[in-house]
Formats: sequence, structure tokens, C-alpha cells
Amino acid sequence: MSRAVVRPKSWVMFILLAICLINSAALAQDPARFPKPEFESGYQQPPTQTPPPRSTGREWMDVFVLAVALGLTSYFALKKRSRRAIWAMAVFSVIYFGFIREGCVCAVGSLQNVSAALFLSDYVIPLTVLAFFVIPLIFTLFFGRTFCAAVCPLGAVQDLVMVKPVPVAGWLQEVLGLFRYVYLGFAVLFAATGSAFLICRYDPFVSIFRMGNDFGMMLYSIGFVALSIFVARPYCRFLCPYGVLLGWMSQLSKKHLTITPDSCHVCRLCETSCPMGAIDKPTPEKLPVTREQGIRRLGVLLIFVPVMIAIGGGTFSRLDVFLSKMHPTVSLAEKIDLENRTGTAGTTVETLTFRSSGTPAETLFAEAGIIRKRFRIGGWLLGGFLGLILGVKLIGLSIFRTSTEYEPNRAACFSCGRCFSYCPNEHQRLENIRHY
Amino acid sequence: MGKILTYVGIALAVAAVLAGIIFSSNRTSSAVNKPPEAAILYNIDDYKKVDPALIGYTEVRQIKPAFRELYGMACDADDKIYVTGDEQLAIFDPAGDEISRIDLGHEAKCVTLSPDQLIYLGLNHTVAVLDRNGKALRSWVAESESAVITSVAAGERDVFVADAMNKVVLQYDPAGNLLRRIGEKDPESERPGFIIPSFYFDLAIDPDGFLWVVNPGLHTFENYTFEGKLRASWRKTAFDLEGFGGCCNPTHMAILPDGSFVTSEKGLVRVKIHDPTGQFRTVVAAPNQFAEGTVGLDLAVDSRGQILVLDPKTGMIRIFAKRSS
Amino acid sequence: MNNEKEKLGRREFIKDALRTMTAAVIGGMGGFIGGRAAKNTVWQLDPNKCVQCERCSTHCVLTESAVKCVHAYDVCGYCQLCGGYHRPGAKIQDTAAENQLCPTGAIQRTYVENPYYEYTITEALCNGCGKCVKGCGAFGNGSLYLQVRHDRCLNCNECAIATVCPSGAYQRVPSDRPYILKGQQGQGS
Repeated sequence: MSRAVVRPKSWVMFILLAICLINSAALAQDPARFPKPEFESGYQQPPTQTPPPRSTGREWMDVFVLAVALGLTSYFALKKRSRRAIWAMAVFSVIYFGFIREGCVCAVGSLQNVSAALFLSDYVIPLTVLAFFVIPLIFTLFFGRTFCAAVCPLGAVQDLVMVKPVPVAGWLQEVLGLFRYVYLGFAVLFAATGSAFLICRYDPFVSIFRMGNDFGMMLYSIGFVALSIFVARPYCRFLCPYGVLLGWMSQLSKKHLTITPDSCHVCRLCETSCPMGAIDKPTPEKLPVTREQGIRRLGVLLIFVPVMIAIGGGTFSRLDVFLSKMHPTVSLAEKIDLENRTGTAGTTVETLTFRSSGTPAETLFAEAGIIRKRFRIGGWLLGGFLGLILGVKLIGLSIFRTSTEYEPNRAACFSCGRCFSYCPNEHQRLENIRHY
Repeated sequence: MGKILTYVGIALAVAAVLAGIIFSSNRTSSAVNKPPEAAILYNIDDYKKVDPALIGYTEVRQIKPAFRELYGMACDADDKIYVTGDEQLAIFDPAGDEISRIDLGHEAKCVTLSPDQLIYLGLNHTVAVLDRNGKALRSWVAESESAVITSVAAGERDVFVADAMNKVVLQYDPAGNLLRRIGEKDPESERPGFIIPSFYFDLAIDPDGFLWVVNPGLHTFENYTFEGKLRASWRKTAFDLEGFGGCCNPTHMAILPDGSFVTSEKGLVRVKIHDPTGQFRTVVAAPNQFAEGTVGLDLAVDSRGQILVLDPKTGMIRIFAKRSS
Repeated sequence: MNNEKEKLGRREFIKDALRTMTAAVIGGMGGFIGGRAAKNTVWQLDPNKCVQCERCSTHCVLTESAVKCVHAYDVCGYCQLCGGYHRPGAKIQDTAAENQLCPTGAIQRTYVENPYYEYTITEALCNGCGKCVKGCGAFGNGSLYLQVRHDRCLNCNECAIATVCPSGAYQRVPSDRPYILKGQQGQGS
């Protein structure tokens, strides 16, 4: 039974006994209480159709296929040493992960989901997405970048169209390769601040897999495919942010693809075999600098690294206002602010929508302020990271690891197996297999 | 030669990549920066424009009751204003000062005054009667508990209750005894009954003592005797000022002392006056006088012929007076 | 020679240790965010936030948008003059093309009984522009509304429409409840 609420304000006792049962607050929204038309012809109202999305089962199936494909590719690259089998895996990946699955979510993009999950308290990551991020990393930690060789549909499609690759000078490759770190840094920054998924926005091949997009993105994708004909794996080498992580893993890998099945005779036949420029030559007998010079240079650089981190951090943290424009809340706040200052209102759909929502502008500005603060901290981290990378790269130039063999560069090698057939020992091995 | 072709190919490919990025980002930003008029193609702007010469009233005053939500409004013979909102009833003197506030414990979607100055409230499925001091006199549950009362009108010996849920007008005596059901669907006369697509269903008693009920789904005003007989009706379906558009308009109605109708609409939000035969007479408030998303403007008329509009969007009672020309 | 071997052994050991550590870090991170990981999610738009800006029809990565108009029949008034079907100012009871609001003629109007009419969306024709949604919301009950149709949606990691939605109506919802429905169906789920 309902009771009348008597508040001090009411000056006369008011008791209403008859009202009960129905919570009137929910009344207007309750569809069961809607004045429905009464049909006499026996007409039945059809339900709204709700076609289901791709089932969770199929998502897990994709994770399973990913793991199996990684296992097979690793086997083909390290044990069987078959370029043809790796090529076949690449074809499979382009068809399955590319054209059938139509892209999302891929391991490259998943690093944004992981960043968001790490930094945004309200972001939850589906387990399958997490699996797509972790499984290739773990495989790489043990077998090198076999993921890049033939499992990643982006890598595979570039590998398959590589018809006439031109060699890229070592220094140019190093410089262009730095973009990967920049891209990684920005992708993480924007994902971790909830601004945007940059990697997805500028995915060069998803438009091909889906066979459609707007004109600009289509042109971008076709351009990338065309570029991949002449430049070996341009996305993998110069842009792929996930490749940075894989490179780190690969450097620690337990096993790795080798050019020769047994030992290198330094015959130099494989020297130019890698279109990706990922083969390290044996170190020359005579180093370009003396040991003392090298140590001195190293010392200077070691002092320099913290300075570079500080410079990078300081610079990028000052870009907070500019960078935070990427966040929809900040960009809306700026538009509202501009309208307020110029005395206009509703110049865009966004501002019109915001104004009719009744949220006070101060709330929006406060939110934008918090996001900007996050960008200031993120800027320090991003700038520091880039400074550190630059420092480490410079140090890498002055450290010479002695090597007497032709070896794949573990960080850069995609384990595609193109070099196998250049090695005379490999031919010997195949010969032996044929004999026994 | 091959080498040159290769480099040309690379250059073209890089150009395509860059052009693609520029094209695509232009497209996004141009769409985002498109003026809203062009982006929102559906518009009823042509119907929102009203020739100022046709607006016969001007807004003279606003009262802002302290409510989060506003539901219903009525005016008594002394021009006191009764407003329901949240779970309360507030009474204002003609100057606009709140003189009392009564807790109801439920939301009253409509309020009216009887000729003997009793307050009738519609609370969900219950009619409650209060004296002018706010003291509860009696209450009764409308015929069925499923009822949703959207309007009440009280004569000397009759109380009419609009039940939007069951699409019927219920006639009671002042004690709450059901006298008859009015206006139901009648297969014999092929009368479709009241068509009420949403919870807007208003009625009022005219100065000659007849009941007028709005049939919003048909844009029709229906006139009944107190014996429940349909006397007359008029229907005006039009988006322009001549009539009412959309699925269910007008949403509210009040009757002026000369028998003219004051109407309020949703969708194309406007308040206007039609003469007793249904001919459009004048506009009280044009669509541009209301905020986007305004819906459910309850109406009342005071003794001086001023029109009171309850605007739930801005949370105000807006008072319009005849323009002195 | 022995020295060389020792050096190699030491390097291998450091590498092993680093690898184990890295694996532990990845595992730990996976566990940390995996602990509050959710079920699979899909994109959906909240019809209560939608302002019908028409971007759904133009910004989907699919040429024909995955967003379509759906109809909550139990919220519909079956009106003769429908704000979602008829162009403002249209003559009543007329299904002539010039009176229709839908630019692609995707709404079917069928007579049920006096004075009720049923409105059905032909999804193959609907482009998700939301003009009818606007009309129905303004004049009617809002029984017409936009939804991401999951038989079409590719579930992009970053939904291209979400990035330009002016009202922030797009959100990720659990894939076992992939729709935000109006009416009884919405209530039930």
C-alpha cells in the first residue's frame, strides 16, 4: 500500500490511500502499459528481427587457427626449411585471416586494445583479443618472427605481391625503420587516452580484404599494394608497430630460422638474397674504430641517453594541447569554447547535439582538462620512449658484435625463408634427403 | 630502363598512399564540419516558419515552479495556478508566487478545477479529489487498474476522465460512481473509437456545458452530450496552420470563454487557436518559441483570457496575452 | 677456445634468463588485464542517444552501411498518417512516392484494419539514414530506430561510424546481447 509522504513543507496533511501497486515513475517507459491499438482482424504484431553477430565460438576458433598456423609456420621455417610451405601458409593466411575473417581484430591492432585495457579503468578487453596479442609474442619468443612470415595477413599479402623488390640502403632502412617506433608510441598514446585507434584507422590492407571503402582509403590501400611490389614489405619494415614488439621478442628467441642448415662457409652467396635487408654480414677483421675509441664513444652516448629522454619527454609533453585534439571530448570542448567566444551556437552537429543535451559546458571543459593532463603525462612517456630508442640505436652503431657467419638479423628477419635456396649447404641437405 | 620503371612505380605508389590519406582525412573532417542544416536532411523547417502577422499573442510573463519534472496545470476562477510536478502539487497566486505545496506521494499527470472549486487530480489509474486547501476528500480507482488517466474535467454533477490506456472516456458522479463509458469503438457505426498512439488524450467542458474530447490519432475534436451521445465533430489534418499533423495531435486542449479551442502539438511544437467550428484563428506561440525536443505542453486559460502554457522542457509556466494591435 | 665457449655459455644463460623474464612479464600483464577481461563485444548504437545525423549511412566501412532502421512494432501506433513514412505535409492515405519520406522507399505500408496501418522496413533497401527515425521521433512514439545489424557488421576494432557519431551513441555491448531494443523485446532482455 502506498503511503502519503508528509514533508514539513506541506501545510495540510494529505493522505491518499487508494493509490498503490504501480510504480508510476516507470510508467511512461513501460511498453506493456502502452496504449496499443486493438486489432479485431486477428493481426499479430511481428517481433523485431535480431540477426546474431559472429558467435564467440568462431572467435575462439580463430584463436585456435592462429595458434595452429603459428605452429605450422614455425615448423616449416625452422625444421622443414621449406620456402614453398611458408608461401602456402601465407596464401592460407591471406585467404582465411584476410578475405574470410575480413581483418578485425588482428594482432597488430590488438596492441591498442591492450594499451587501453592497461590505462583506462573502464575499458574491458575480450579474452580472444588478448589471445591474439599474446600468442604471437610468445611464439616469437621461442621461434622468431614466424608470425610475420606467413600468419599475419598484412605481412602475408605484402610477401605475396613482392615481385621486383629494390634493395634499400642500410642507413635508409635504419632511418625509415624508426617510424615504427614513432607509430607505436602514438598508437599507444592515443589508445591509452581513449582518443582513437590509429592503427585501425590507417590499416593499409583491410580495405582490400573487405573489398570496399571510401575513395581515399581505397587509393591508400592500392598504393600500398603497388609499393609492396617494388619495396619488400614496406608496412612491416617501416610502419608496423607490433613488429617493434616482435623484434624485441625475436632477439631473445630460443630458436631462430638459420640461413644454412649446418655451418656457414662464408661463401657470400646469400649476401644479397634477402629483399628485406635482414642478413648480418660477418664482422670485418679490422674494425673501423679502435677499441679505445669505441669505449669513449660509448661513454659519451651513455651520458647522452638520459639527456635525449629528457628532451624528448619535455618536447612531447608540451604538445599536449595539440595532441589532445585527437580525443573527441577535447575536440568538442574546443568547438564549444570557440562558439562561446565568437557568440555563435550550433555551427556543427556535434556542438548542436551537445547543447541540446543540457550538459553544462563547464563539465565538458573539466573533462577535457583531465584528458589534457593525461596527454601531458603521456607526452612525457612518449617523448622519453622515443629519446631512449634513438639513444639505443646510436649505441648500437658503436657496438660491434663479433660474428664469423652470415646470419639473419634476429630483430629484422621475418623468417620468410627466401634465403634457404641461396645456401649451397641447403642444396647438399636436400640432396642428402633425396638419397636416403 | 627496368630500373627507371621501378622507381617510377615506387614514386606513384607513394603518391597514391599519401593522396589516399589526404583524401580520406578531408572526407572525414568535411563531414564533421558540415553545417547541421545540410547534415540533417529531414526537416520541417518550412512548417516551423510562421508569418508574424498570424501570431495574435505575445508572451508576457514566465513563472518557474521549483520542480524537476512538470506534468499538468489548471487555473481556478480566482486565477490561482495549480501545477503538478514530481510527486507534488503547487499552488501559485495570480502574481506568480507559490502559496502552497502538497505532497501527493505519486505523480499527478493532470489536474483540473470543478465549478465548486474542488481540485481533481489524475494519478495513474486513480482520481483524487482535494478541497482548495489541499485536504484529501475522496479518491477512486478508475474503472480498471490498467487505466492511465491523462485528463480530467469536472462539471456540476459529472466528472469525465480520459483513460488513454483503454481509449475511453469514463463518466462519474462526484462521488466516484461510474455513470457510463463514452466514445468506445463501435463496430455497428464503424466508429473507430479513440485512436491514441501515445499517452496524449485530452478533454474539456465547453461554456455551453458539452464535453469535447480530442481524438488525437484522427486529428479530430469530438463533441458529446453528458448522456454520452456524439453531437458533432470536426477534423483537421494538415501540417500547416489550418490543422494538425503527425500521428497524434493535438496533445492538449483548453477552451476559451467564447468556445474557441486552444491547442498544443508535439512534433511541430506550436500553440494555436481554432474557432468552435474548427477554423484556424490565430497562433499563440510559434515553433521557434520552443526548445528542440519540447513535448507535452499542457494548457490553461485564466479569467482575463490569457493563455497559460506549461513548458516541461524549460520547466516554466509561460503566459501569453492577446497582442494589443 | 675454452674461453670462447664459456663466453657463449654465459650469453646463452643471460638470454635464457631474459626470455623467461619476458615471458613472465607478458604472462603477468595478460593475467592482469585478463582478470577483468570481458566476453566478446560488438558495436551497437544507443537509440536513446541517437540524433539522426545521417552519418551512419555514409561512414560505415561497408558501402551499404551495417546500420539499418528497425521497427519496434509494439511501440508503433499504426497511424494512418505516419511521421516516419510520410513526408511532412503529405496527403493522408497516400502511398505515392512523392509523399514518402524514405529516400529509398524502404518502408512498406500495409492496411491492417480501420484506421490502422502496418509499417515494415525492407532492410535490403534501407540505407540507415534515419530520416524516418527523426520523423517518427518527432511526431510519433519513436518506434522506428536505428540499430547496427550484426548480420552485416564486420565488428571493426575501431568503428568508423563511432568516430564521427556526434552524440557518442556508439558503444561496445556484450555479443550475447548485441541489440539495444525498444519496446517489450528491449525490456525482456
